[in-house]
Amino acid sequence: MKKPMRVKDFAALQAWLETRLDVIRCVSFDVFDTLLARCIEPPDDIQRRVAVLLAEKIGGITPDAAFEARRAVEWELRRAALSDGLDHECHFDPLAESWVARLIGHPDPALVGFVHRAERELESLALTAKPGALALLEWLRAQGVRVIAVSDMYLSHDHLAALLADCGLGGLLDRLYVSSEFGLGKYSGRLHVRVLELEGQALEGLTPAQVVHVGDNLVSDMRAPMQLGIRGIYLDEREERLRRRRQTLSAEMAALGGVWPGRRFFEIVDYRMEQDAACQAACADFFHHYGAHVLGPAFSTFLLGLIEKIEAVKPDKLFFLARDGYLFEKMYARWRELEPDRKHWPEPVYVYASRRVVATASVAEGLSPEQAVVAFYNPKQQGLLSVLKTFGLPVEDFADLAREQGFADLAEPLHDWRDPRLLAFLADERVQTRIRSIGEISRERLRRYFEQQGFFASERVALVDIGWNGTIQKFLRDSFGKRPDYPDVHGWYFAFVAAMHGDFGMGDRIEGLILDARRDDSYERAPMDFEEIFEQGARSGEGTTLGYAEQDGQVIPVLKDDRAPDRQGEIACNPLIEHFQAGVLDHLEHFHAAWRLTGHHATEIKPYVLGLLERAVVYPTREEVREISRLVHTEDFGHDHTLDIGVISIRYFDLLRPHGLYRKLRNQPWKFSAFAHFGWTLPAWLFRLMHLLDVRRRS
Amino acid sequence: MSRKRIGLMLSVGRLWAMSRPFRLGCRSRTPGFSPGARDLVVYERRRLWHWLYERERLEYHTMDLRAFLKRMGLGR
Repeated sequence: MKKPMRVKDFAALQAWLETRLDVIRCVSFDVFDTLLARCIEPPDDIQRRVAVLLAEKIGGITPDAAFEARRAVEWELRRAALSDGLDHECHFDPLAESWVARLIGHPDPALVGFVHRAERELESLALTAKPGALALLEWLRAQGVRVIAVSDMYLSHDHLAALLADCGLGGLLDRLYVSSEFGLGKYSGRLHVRVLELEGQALEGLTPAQVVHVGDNLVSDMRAPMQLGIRGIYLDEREERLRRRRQTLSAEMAALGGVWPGRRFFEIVDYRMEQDAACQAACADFFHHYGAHVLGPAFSTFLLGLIEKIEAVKPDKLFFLARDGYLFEKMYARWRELEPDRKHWPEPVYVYASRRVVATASVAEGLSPEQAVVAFYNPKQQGLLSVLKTFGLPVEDFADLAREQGFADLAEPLHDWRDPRLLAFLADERVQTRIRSIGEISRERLRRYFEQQGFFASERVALVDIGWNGTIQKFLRDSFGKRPDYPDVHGWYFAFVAAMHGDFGMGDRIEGLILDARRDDSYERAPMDFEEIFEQGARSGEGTTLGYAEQDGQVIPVLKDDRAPDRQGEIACNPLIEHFQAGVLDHLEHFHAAWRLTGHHATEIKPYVLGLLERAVVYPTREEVREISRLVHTEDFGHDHTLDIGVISIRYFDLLRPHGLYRKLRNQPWKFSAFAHFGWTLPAWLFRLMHLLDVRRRS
Repeated sequence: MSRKRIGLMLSVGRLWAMSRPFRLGCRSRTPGFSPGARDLVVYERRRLWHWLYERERLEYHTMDLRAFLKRMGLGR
């Protein structure tokens, strides 16, 4: 008996083969876990998923019952093969036919075709060529060695050949042998015998000693061929084997719920991204990496939640609101391309609307003190000046009237929201008359613009945006809610903090899919602790919408002038934002594949996404803080200044005075960034604890 | 540029540690991203077992030993 041979990777295998090229005429490979790797383990999960899809297609049958039926049919076919004197192999073609017939009581070629397509699609999504496999096969062929693949597999020859072709290995194999076609397996040695016979016809005088078989199974790929005189080589890739075991363990843990399904889901995404050479190369750029690994999971989970909402509510149109709905519209368009069989897709419309234009329209019937105070939510508020800017009211039109009410400086911050001067100003009929005339013009233009976009012609629509307070949804309702043709409007936002006007009676017609303050789930709060990064990641490169103008009988948006100082800063950052978004879209490709393979719902994977966001917001690395601080963030709702995301420097000494430190950081846009330079997470952990205690005390 | 960037996979130990302030600070009623102490122990114990015990490698070395003994004329 020859000494068993093992190699640790393809490079070692090539080195071993190189010294024996004078003897070796044919190299045979196992397929699964040797040439191809699956991103999902255990492989049975793909069969389970096909059963889920078939059960959904048939209706009235549970996925478990469908899967059990498949198992039963497979078992019968294997038993029949044994009784015919073959190995316990079965073929997918009769399996699919008998499976469908068992479930619905009669043959149905269309459903059988569906099963074949589903199995093929899912296997194709799950499989990739192993790193190094392609190069080794090319090298062998260049050396004039015949290369074949031998697989113990229930799929047909053509099916498996197509999968190999999808992975880029199709043209590199001289021949493919599949156990299902012969009814013989490698484990018994009978398939190897048959392969030797057939290969002997292709290579005259071929002897077993001139054949090498490589695989990861000690019985099928080593012991059985060695007993025939074939040189069996055990491919012993320890990391790969541990990865498969880890994923199998994750799949078992996923059944427990909580954070586990999401962790298992992103293990699949992570493996796929690692295998994607283009994605890996692009991730050398920090912003692409951050988009793919931080914003990508969050935004993709939001999109999945959005797709589930569409399925439940079936709106006629989706209105993606400028500017932060920009990326979501692109992601939605890509998801539609990836799901060509789906029938109900509401038409997406990208609308140029901003809080500012709807706020101006909402004062067509006057500005109340309750409306006015929304301008004061910004810590940098400038009193009456912020009120005028928030509602798009020209400062010069109101300056004299304000002075009459005692406003010496319009930019003086108003900490008392019931300031007598403000109340008197708003009670002045001359002020309200002027406000109403501006509001009416604005409301009319807004009405015409939305009419142009088909808003009022729809029965049910949804607004999609990054969210926070749902201000646009509120002001649209304030402006047009009394119209008989005002549609049933839903607001589906990334985050809904409900701080400015609560949920303004919208109930379940407004929802933050990742964060919704009404759920009172403190684990969701990471996006609230660094809103700017999510706005930056989703925004378009254009300026904010300031109003509308008439052009050739059409209403067109008027955007902020690119020459404005804050726009200059934004424009300089646009290339970085494009990298963010390219990373998010890269992630979406793999996210979609993992979703097809697992069928997880957004709510199942969200707990893990919240963990990823907590890590990124509260425990950033030094590099993350350094790079993200380069971004310029503008505040365009009542303010024209840019927000400095940069970091306040703190030292260990500051940690000894926690209350002073907390006061110092509390109003910073990204307070946790101050701890990144310590290089360990305990200071940030303690600060997070203090922060949560403070939040609890305040609520 | 920092070579080591944090990717998509967070260790369960880290998830558990990050969830502690929520348990201590606001006594959250939902499990959030906490893996749960008992599940964490189960997961890590089984992961360690997978790392230590590799059936395939053991089988390989058994085969290797049997082949050696056979060559020495000591095995079947």
